[in-house]
Amino acid sequence: MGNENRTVTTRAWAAFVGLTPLLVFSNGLLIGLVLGMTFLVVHSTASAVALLVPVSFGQRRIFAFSMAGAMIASSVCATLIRIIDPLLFESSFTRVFLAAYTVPVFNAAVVPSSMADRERAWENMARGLGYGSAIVLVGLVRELMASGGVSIAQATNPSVFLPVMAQPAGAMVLLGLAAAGFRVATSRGVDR
Amino acid sequence: MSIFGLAFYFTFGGNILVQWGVIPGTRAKHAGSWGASFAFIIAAAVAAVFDGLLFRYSLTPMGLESIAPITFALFVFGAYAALRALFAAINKPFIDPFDDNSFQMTLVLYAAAMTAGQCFSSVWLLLGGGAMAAFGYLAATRFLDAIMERLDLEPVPATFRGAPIRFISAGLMALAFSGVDASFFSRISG
Repeated sequence: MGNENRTVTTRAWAAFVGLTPLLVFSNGLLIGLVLGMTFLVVHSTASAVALLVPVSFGQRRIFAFSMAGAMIASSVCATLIRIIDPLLFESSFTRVFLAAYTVPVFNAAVVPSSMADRERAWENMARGLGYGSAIVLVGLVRELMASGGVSIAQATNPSVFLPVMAQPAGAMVLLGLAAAGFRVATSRGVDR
Repeated sequence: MSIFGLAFYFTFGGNILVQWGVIPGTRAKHAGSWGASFAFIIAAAVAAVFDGLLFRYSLTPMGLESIAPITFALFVFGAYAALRALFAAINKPFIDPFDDNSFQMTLVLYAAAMTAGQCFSSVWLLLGGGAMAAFGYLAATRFLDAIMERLDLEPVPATFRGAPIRFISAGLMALAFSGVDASFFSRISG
């Protein structure tokens, strides 16, 4: 693997690992959908604000504006969840607020340094969609492994099949196995 | 999961893995003393109390719990601006605290503040939530670092070297904390 590809892989891996707080708390399909949707909105807001604010503001101010936008977006999402389902809000609001404090959102809030990077900024939206899907997928797999079934309803599946998968430890073990599986599938090792 | 567990897992299970070195080539150096670690726990606990009281007495009565992230941002940016102003007032050069670790520190403070939202019953619980968030940070940066050094000497299969074994090690440590959380902290905080 060339140095450039290795750097890209490392950055992508860094961003994915930065999602771990959300992946740890995504222990079911419903909460995964909530967190994934919130993350997508927050990530898109951060990247859009970073592009829309004039470069003359300076990198630090743009970052502050982008993060403020991301936090407002997470608040809006929390409000929507509260309107739609107050019980779901009560059980998930602390996790929803985390979305603005993850590495990918921080990366999206940094203004692209070159014009070429600015022109490719739409890729941030695609990244957000990918990360959001990963959060939903992890929630689905963990619920399936923990209870042997999947349901969109709240708290209908007791964790009787493999209960540890519903715990944070299960998320990390799952991520470890996924990383090993990814390595086998691609047959190219990543440096320690 | 208790609020202490929530704070712990947020900082331990999440963002600290980045600093701790799951990502290849970014294994951090942790030169801080135990005294600094203790001071850090105190700071996180105080932040939890401050933000928790703000949440309890300002946001909740007005039904504005949803804007908690914004108030936290104002708190962090406001503290930063106040620090700059203080240094300017006493004519001393301002050393920017936003170094490489600031991201993790901010997250720990946020974890403390986040747990404060659920700790309505006692200031002691607010202090505990903040301290536990800081403990999660220290567990990841100190204890797991020692495990990683030991794993370097073990014959780990090639497929599991690097990130996979680190995730699994973190999972096993999290499993151990789950036992402590369920048998001890959950009984305290409910």
